[in-house]
Amino acid sequence: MSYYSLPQIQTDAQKVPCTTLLPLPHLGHLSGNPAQTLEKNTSLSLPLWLAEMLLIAPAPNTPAAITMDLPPPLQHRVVNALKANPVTLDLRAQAPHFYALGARMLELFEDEDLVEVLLETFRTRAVEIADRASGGVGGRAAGDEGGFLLGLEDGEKRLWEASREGSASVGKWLAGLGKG
Amino acid sequence: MSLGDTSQKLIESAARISSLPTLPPYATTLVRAITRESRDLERDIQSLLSPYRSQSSQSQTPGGDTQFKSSFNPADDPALATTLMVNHVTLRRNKRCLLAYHRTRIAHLEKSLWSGLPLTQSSSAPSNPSSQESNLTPSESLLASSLSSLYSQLGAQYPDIDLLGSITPPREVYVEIRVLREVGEVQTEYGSLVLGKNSVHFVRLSDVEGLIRGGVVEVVGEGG
Amino acid sequence: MDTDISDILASVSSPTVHPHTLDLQALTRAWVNERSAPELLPYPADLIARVSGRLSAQILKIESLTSTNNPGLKSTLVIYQTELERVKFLLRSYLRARIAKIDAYPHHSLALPASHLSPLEKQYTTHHQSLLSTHYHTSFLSAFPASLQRLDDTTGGVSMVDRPDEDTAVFCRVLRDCGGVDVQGTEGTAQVELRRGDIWVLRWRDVRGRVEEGSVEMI
Repeated sequence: MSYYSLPQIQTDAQKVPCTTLLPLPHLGHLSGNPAQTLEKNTSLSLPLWLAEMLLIAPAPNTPAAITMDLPPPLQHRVVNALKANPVTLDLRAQAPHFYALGARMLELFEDEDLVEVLLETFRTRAVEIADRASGGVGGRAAGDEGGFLLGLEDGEKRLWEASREGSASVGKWLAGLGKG
Repeated sequence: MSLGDTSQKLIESAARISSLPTLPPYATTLVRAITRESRDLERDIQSLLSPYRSQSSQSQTPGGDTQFKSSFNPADDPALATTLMVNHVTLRRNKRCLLAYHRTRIAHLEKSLWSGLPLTQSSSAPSNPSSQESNLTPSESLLASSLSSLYSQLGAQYPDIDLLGSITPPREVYVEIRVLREVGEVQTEYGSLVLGKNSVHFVRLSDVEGLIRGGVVEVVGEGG
Repeated sequence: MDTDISDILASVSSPTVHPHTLDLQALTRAWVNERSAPELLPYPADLIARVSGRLSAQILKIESLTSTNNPGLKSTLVIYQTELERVKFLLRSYLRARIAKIDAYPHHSLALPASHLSPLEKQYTTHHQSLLSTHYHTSFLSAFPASLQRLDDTTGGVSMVDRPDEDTAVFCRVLRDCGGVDVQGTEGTAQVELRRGDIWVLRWRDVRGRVEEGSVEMI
């Protein structure tokens, strides 16, 4: 459900750091200065849906208008924190649709390391979610119950809800069997 | 103007809708602002391209619009090409956000329509989501009643299965019900029931599901 | 000889399953498959026609038994009606599951092979989309340039035609041996054999053909 998907649309609104490669008259408003030319080598934040298209050169042998860098939620500082301990990081505070953002950026950048980190982060946190959903207290995060759950990003929240509902449904069904 | 800010607000508004029991008011101001911005963007595109157009390169689109061929070559003016791209991409973004917003509202409506319709085809006019009437635009109201007819027509094509009925699995065939609100005579598939206030009846669940949902009767016990 | 050879054989062979039961089993399987598969499955027109026909007949039978007002028939009637409700539910839930998928992927559904949509479903979808399109145009779409007024535009950055995710993981049971499937792991690709009785979690795209032909069922 990509075109009409609200999470997808919201992900594409994420701002990414860009740098202009040529002077752009008419586009001063993109950096908050309408009626001015957007000069070459200006740094600015653009939403992903716009930046992505400006990466494409307007014609063969013509330069693209901008270059783009990874947004803050996927920069080294965060990646290193995830490598150290994927469970304690508040992913939601980084980006509400953290993995979707990662997936989108990986459509534009090759970054094997980032792929590995995201996969490992997802796996580890998913195990933690499943464990808690079935009534366990979790692994490393015992004593920090509320923190982990509040830090779940969008997809993880749905995973949590589905796991809880699944656990509860099975419990109800088993209890129903007992009644004969 | 910060491009796409208004569209962003509309999407945030849409994201809240699914968790609400009834449709909130339509975001008229936001929709109008985005529509206006879109008209402006297209007008800007056309005026930026006008130096590159000539009368002799007119053509008719299938829709009857006169379309001007433009001789603009992006390689000649990358900065202009970029401006055109920004406008065009913003137009597409606005379209996407507007569609997603409207579709979210429609999905909410459709869900109500599928679950709120009366059980037997012989009942009177389908219930309107009347508590939401004031929050629907005229176009949405029209759509709601057209959809209601469409679903009824579809249901009529499968006469025996009550297509619009409950999709939770049947538990018991019969239930004992007490009438909470006087409704008088009610038609069922096999005859009529007279539902006087406080009267108790042992009836088929499928005959009274709609009345249970609507709070007209309550289940006292279940039978086999 | 008075008796045909095939009659003798029939009397000593194992009891066959009643065709009504076979149909009910097939409907149940179609119901589970349809609810679990991400894509719309082919419409089993003959099966649905037979089950619907039998349903109508059953309703008439119950009506006539009810009208005799014979108290001795009460438990029989309850059994008939329980069965009736079950079949009605199956059909209803099955058709509604299909409609939900069609509503989610209307343009994709209309482009599927003719075997996948019943004529009624096709008619419903076309009408449904037309109502939505009118609504969108009235509400805002007519303000956009003609080239951007389509609802099935695939040329922008994101295609407007949503389609189900073929890589969705599905749980399935193998009904008869049906060959190998390539599975991607972290170390590379390997092949797994689908043998009768196996239960697998696989990508939908790898089992779609086998589900449609009946070698594999969803669970």
